[in-house]
Amino acid sequence: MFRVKMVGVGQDQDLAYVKYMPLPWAGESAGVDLAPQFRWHLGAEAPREWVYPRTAGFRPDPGGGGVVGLESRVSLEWFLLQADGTCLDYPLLSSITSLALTSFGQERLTGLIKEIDDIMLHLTDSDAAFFATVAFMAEEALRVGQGAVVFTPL
Amino acid sequence: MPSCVAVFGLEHRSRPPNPTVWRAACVIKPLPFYWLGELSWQYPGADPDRDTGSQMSIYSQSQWDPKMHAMFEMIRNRYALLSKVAGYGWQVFEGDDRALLAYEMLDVAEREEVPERGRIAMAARLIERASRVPGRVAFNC
Repeated sequence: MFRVKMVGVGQDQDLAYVKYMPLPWAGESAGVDLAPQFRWHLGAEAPREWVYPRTAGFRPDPGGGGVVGLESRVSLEWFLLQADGTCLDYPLLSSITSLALTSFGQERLTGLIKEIDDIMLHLTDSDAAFFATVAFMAEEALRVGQGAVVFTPL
Repeated sequence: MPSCVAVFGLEHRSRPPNPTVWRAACVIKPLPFYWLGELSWQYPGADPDRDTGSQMSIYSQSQWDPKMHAMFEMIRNRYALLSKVAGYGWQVFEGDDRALLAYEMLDVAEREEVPERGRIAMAARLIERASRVPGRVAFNC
């Protein structure tokens, strides 16, 4: 699970953020409550269970493909993951779960929006609302002409 | 008075929307719509049985302002959906109403002398984006 925020976009950037961003290819879905005590239910709609342990110092490999990162990802029919955790169709979105890239600057925002628009058809209605919010953030940063959209692993 | 807006997916349709819970995809808070509530409380049609509590004591008739009254009349006549946001409790918008509401919010931010127009416009853009997928938008205090 990731928190998604706008950074360097302007004074109102902190007003809107995604507290818990579900990523289906990490086995996460918003189809059920996202409160911590219900996290194990995430497997109800998603093929894998909870991903990132909160233990201090125990995070997915920032280079991608680390043990924790590898186990925390799952290949979906519409989101085929390679062995290294990348996805040929959605290189930017898959880079979030591998932690290869978690900050999307101006040069990548258009690509991020396109990838989000492309996966919308495959998402549950509830998950789609989360991705619509991230697309909104990317559009805000582009509109302002500065700043980035940052995914922080929780 | 309306002070935040939350975007939800459709799968929680049967549950009461609550921006304080984790399931909201996004919450914008604070939302500078206090002026809408202020206007509605000053409106002659305000219901004293419903509009009780601290709000009514703050926005009592002693603070009646004809200018605000005129502004609320204008909002009510020109922005049908936006004027509903000024209501009490949950104000929920679904389907095409979300895009229309976003349009009204953008319009009021561009054309009217309202507080913190930039933030209202930002909330409008979020609602517009969210309106492209199934779901709903809810305003609450």
